[in-house]
Amino acid sequence: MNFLDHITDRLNDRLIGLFPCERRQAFGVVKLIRLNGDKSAKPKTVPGAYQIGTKNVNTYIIDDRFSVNSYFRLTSMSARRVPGGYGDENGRIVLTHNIALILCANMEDVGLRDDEIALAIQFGFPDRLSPDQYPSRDFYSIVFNVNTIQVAAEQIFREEFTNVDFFLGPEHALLKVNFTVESTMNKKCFQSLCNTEKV
Amino acid sequence: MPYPVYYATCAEKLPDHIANSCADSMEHGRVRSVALVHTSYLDALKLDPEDPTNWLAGIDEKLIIIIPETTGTYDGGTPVDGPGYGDLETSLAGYRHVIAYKDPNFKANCEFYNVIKHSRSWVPAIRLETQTLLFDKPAVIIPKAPVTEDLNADVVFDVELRISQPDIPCPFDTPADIFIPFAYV
Repeated sequence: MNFLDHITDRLNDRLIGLFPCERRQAFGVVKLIRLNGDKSAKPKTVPGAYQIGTKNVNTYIIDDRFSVNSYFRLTSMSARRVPGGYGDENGRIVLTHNIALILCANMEDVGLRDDEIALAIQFGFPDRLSPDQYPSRDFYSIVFNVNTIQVAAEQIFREEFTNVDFFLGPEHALLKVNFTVESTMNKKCFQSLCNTEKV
Repeated sequence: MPYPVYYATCAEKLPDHIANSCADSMEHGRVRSVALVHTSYLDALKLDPEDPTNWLAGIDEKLIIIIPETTGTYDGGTPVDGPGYGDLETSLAGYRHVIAYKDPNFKANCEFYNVIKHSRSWVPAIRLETQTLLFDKPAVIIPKAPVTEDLNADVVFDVELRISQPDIPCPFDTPADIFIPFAYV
């Protein structure tokens, strides 16, 4: 399983606990994809995912039939070394993934205003994964930190959707949660870049 | 008739000092691996410590214990002063050597360290970057496993090895494929 899919699955489990609505749509990691479409219209940019192998493109438009919609978008990744290590190891690697969680909720259905939803996410977000939740044996720690939560719906919509008319009503809250995932890992223990299954 | 004067002179077999400015003559730090050699196997190993087969034979007979991945220090030996004579205030009687290393395999080795700490039969060897040092005398083995408040800190075995021997151990090329960790399974 892909590392980010594993992380977002754990976070989606937590979000379901925070917002236990029946009509819920939760996606993993997407990217902004340009759709050329009709030549007479301007190309749109929307969140979507390219499927390796099938070459299909799945787009994720916020669907207001659902009480809660969410997806994740990786914005950047960095790495640094920390002192220490054993044997010939030149310190451990700490990977930092900067990820945005975009969440659209119907405030009537969840019973919370947008600022209350932001607080619920801030306090409900996990601090770290426990060792039994690590994707494989190569990780020493996986720690989360929520940095900022944006609540300006139109601004977030314009950042995520280009040349798409704003269709959300006043009953919708659209939030962007910018958080980091810091993973301390032993690079030497990775079996293969393509395989992070637990042994 | 004058009293005879007895002169005792010691023949010095002093080797040449070697100076080499090349970068590959430098050795870098950290006690990266530790081996414990049983006193009964020490002479056999010292016949050719660079030969991996000597090491493998000892490992097979459980007379050599390899701790393949550690981090630690060796203090280089603290001099022990002895009495001085003539114009010498003191003399060098020997050294006390201290190796301090961390063994990250905490969960599996409690029983190992609880038993070996009572033994006086294990001579340490330490692996550096490319060289290994093999001591001559057995060590006092003092393990402990401290726990801090830091959620992210490792709990490891903090082990001190104390050796008393007159000489500083001389480095030799690390034997190939001895101090590698077992295949990750």
